Amino acid sequence: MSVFPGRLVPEAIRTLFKGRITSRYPDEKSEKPDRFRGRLAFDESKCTGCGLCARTCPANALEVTREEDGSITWRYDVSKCLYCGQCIETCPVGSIDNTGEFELAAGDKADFDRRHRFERET
Amino acid sequence: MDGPGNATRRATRFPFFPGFRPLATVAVDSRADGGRPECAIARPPPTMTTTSPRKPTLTERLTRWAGKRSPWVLHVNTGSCNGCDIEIIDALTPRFDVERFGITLVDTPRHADVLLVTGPVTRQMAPRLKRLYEQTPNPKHVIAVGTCATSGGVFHGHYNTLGGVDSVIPVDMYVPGCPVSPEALIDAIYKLLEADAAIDEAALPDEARLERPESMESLPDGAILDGEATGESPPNAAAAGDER
Repeated sequence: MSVFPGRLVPEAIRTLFKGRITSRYPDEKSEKPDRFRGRLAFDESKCTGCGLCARTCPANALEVTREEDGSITWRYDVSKCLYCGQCIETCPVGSIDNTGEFELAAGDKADFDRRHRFERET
Repeated sequence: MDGPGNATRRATRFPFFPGFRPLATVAVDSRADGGRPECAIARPPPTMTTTSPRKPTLTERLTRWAGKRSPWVLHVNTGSCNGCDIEIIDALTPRFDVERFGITLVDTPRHADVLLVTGPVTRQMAPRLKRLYEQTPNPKHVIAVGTCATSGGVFHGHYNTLGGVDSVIPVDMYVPGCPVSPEALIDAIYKLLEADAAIDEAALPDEARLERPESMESLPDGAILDGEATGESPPNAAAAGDER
């Protein structure tokens, strides 16, 4: 940073007429880009239980288990998720979607374990 | 010349550092007890608890009051890829400017109220993280910043990481995100202080409870001091608030 008044003073004067750069985050939430990847959303009406999402997940955050009575459990560990979006691209029926949600802080780790259990005919 | 042995011996004897001991004596065995290393420590009780009926001292209340209004943070990297670290720095820049909330980055754990820990804890870093935690004065809080610090992330079950900050020290707030956005970090600190205030409010014995004005801005500066000194806090606080 230059300290010569010849450059500093005009810059300081110019700054006086510029707007505020600081975002007022907790009060005003800024718009995230359209393709911002946040927490996953799951639509269990579409899921076939194929388990491709769990196979492609690099962090093992997804787990699909099929039980004998035909029920499927889709388990999503938010605390392991990398938000890479590979499961969204892999899912053949489009049951996984991206929410832009990023304010995921929680004091209890149990909040991160999300399970969907539903029936499917085998 | 000071060798490491001399320095350690002097530090151990130094009265300001009770329990100071060389790092080599802290054994780390990540799989000894259900994945928790030997150096792991349990959650300390909050400064004010319902189990202790005594009125919190002036120093305790002042410390917590100051800690809630200007939480000073220390950034600890325990093997992070630097993504979360850059986001923490990002939160300090004028774009997000956490100094609006009195949050500032300090250089030493002895000045810190909140530890921002990033990274899956490596075995090398675990005893050092524990020491940093012990050096932080009470009341202290730990925020696990990022997916790695929360659960180990992609390094979960890896041979040289312990899989998350809570395998070594107690964590108050987890912030998943890879990396976390600065806004998520601000949100986490906000939630942490909110939860902390709720604990304080619940833990205060009835006779010690201040009748707080609705807005924090209208809280008179000397309210806590007056209340503590005279022992009859509610009328003083309310009166001073009205005068303003």
